[in-house]
Amino acid sequence: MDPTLRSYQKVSKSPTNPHSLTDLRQSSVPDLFQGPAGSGLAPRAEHEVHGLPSGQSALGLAEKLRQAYFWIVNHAIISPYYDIEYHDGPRKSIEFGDQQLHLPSDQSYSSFVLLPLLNFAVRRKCLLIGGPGRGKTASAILMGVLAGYPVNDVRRAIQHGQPQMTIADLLGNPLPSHLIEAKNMDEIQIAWRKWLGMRVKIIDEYNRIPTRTQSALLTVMGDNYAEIFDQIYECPESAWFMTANAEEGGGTYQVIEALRDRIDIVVKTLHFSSRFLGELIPRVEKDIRPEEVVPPEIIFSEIEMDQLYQDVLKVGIPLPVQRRIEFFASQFEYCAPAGEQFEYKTKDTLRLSPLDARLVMAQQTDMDPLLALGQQTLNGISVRGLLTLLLFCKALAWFRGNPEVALEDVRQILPFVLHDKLIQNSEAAFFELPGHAVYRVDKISWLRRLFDLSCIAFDRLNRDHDDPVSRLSEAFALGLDGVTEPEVRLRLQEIEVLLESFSRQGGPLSAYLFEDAIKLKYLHQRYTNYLKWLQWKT
Amino acid sequence: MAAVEDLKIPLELAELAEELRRKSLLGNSSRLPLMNQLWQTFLPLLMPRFSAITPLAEALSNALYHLCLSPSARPEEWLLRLNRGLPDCQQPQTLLDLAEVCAWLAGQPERRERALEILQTLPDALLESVFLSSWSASALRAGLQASAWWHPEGLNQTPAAWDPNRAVVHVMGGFRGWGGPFLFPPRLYLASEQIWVQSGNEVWQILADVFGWKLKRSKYLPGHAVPAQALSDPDHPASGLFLAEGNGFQVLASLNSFKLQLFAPIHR
Repeated sequence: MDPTLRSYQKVSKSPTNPHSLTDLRQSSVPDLFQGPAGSGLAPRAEHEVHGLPSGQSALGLAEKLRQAYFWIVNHAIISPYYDIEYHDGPRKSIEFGDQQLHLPSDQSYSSFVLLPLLNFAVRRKCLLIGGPGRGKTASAILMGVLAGYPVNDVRRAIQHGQPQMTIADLLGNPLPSHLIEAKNMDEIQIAWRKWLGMRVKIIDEYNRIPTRTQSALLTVMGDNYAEIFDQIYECPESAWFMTANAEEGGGTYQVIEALRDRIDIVVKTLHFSSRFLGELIPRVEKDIRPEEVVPPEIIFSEIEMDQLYQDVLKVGIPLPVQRRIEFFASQFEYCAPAGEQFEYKTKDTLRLSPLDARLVMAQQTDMDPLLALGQQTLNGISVRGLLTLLLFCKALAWFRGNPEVALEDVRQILPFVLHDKLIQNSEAAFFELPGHAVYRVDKISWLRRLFDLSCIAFDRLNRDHDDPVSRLSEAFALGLDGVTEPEVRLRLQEIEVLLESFSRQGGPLSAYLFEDAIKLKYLHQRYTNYLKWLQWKT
Repeated sequence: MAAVEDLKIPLELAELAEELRRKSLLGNSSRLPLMNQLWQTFLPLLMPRFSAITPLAEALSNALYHLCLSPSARPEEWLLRLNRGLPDCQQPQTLLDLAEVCAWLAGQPERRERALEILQTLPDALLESVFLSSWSASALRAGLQASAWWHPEGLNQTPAAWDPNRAVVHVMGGFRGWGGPFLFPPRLYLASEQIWVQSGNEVWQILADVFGWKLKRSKYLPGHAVPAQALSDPDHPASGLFLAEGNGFQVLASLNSFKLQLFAPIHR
């Protein structure tokens, strides 16, 4: 084999993240025989436990995905941008005027390569956006090859968005002879398109698909089935990769909102760093296409893909991290001028009205722009958004070899998940503060800054140690069986006292207190109903 | 002792030896002197016994590396027991199984569960040769399975008439500046019958048995963890001592000390 080609197919035998390898094993027992000397011997039980082909263990799957990551960044997609930064101890920062370059002190990652891989692992929908020729489609093709499909099959299965694309182009055609002979719809057989049955689905330039065809695509994306002439095709669980040349639906057709909402994670391409031109020369000289020389060691079988997803789900989210996500999510839905009744003071109410949300929100002038984070967005975070966030947090922690999600995992993944889900209110006072105008352009940094500000507020309120609403919720979660009438009255009183303390704080109500008040009203109502029942029983 | 550079290393191990030497794990500049001993005295014994020696050399070197880095482990004891059992190892896998059992006996309590499983499959003669005692293999299996605090090499103890009042004590921890894990004096917590240690923002879970202890690092203290109770002494109301009981042992911490004392078993 040609030495250049051989170097392309080389996969590192060393552990890609030795520290995290140890961490994951701490949930069971660290492997005695793996370490600095060669590859060691894997203990027998590892292979037997999971029954995976080719002796692949569950731990090996995380390592295999990391190897895939490093192969892609080293050989396939030249993306020398370590924008997902992790630090182990102090980091070094170098200043360029008012800008800073951080040198991460722990293994850090390039989002453009890592996030599609995580999407591959959790089988969700990933949008790759950026200028032409930046490797969006190449990245998506690589994911198809990693799923075990021949590269030609992957290329043929790509759905290329174009203005003339019909539903038949996308899903398939009824067989003409059946159309003529059929007495009823059931007799019409459909020649379904092959891509529907694949575990990696690629839609290139999805914002060039006509609106009507987008609706058909929405059904496949949302409900995982295709329908033509009353015939149904059930698709397997699959990872979706969509590409778009321009953001904000700036393609030939406006992307329908429901379709945009189905996108779970957004990945931005970054430019090609000219210092890496030398890497391109062997590709030209030897006519090497990375997707054609993917090493077999990093290709995943169907069983492995299923196992991979199951392993991600097992990663835990510790309560302190969960609380901070809750607190962050509670910042965005409240909008005082949107409603008269307490429950309707939300951006959802505003959304259903014909008024311009920006104008209504601009009425709130007495809010601190650094504390009222909700002022910066035109909507709140949907349940789907939160589910996706939790899943990708788990995936990132798993990829790093950790049994639990760390706060930094949330901080790193959140901007990419909420990129298209939290709509920026660029007229908010926050963006007028010195140095904040850049956040109107750089949405990833803006969302990360939002999370940081939320964590600062969380710490300032000492929510880790002083959260009476959580305490009351936990008491309620223990159940009402055996709770006596005096105890119920005590709890009701406690809820009322707490609500009154909110009202005594003065000034405009904070978004997180709005969510707390809603929760307290809920608890109050549940206890009231229970009290009524207790009285009726006696 | 002859330097590893002077040793005649078989060709098939040369690459591995060079890798370890490059990582300062073997040779004159080795950070782990015991690694030289493994390569000089133990690995040569494997050559006439087993055909494929490289994977074994890799695995055993890695095992020794982990034991040397484990604060509570006694790698010399591991090597000693391995030497004792080697004549009864007929298969490479048996040797690796023995290495795993010996790692447990040399102070890695986290391997207890797996080691007990392996004990069931080890040949009787091999099992008996590992311990300096007169117990039969079946008595060893039963005794080790029955109690985490029975030591087959203990004085006049039998698995059946084992004296529960005889507390085994480990002293663990220490200030990080002196090689220990703690930056601040540790505080004890109890959650789900497990004892946890917090020092500053760092958290560990304590695992222990008669052969050793381990501070297993954790990201967080469990949400329902409760602080250990202060020991009440009528003469010294503020004794500054805290005692936690859980998982079959007790741990004592002092307000100003970086060390923890482990007593076992708990008398009930």
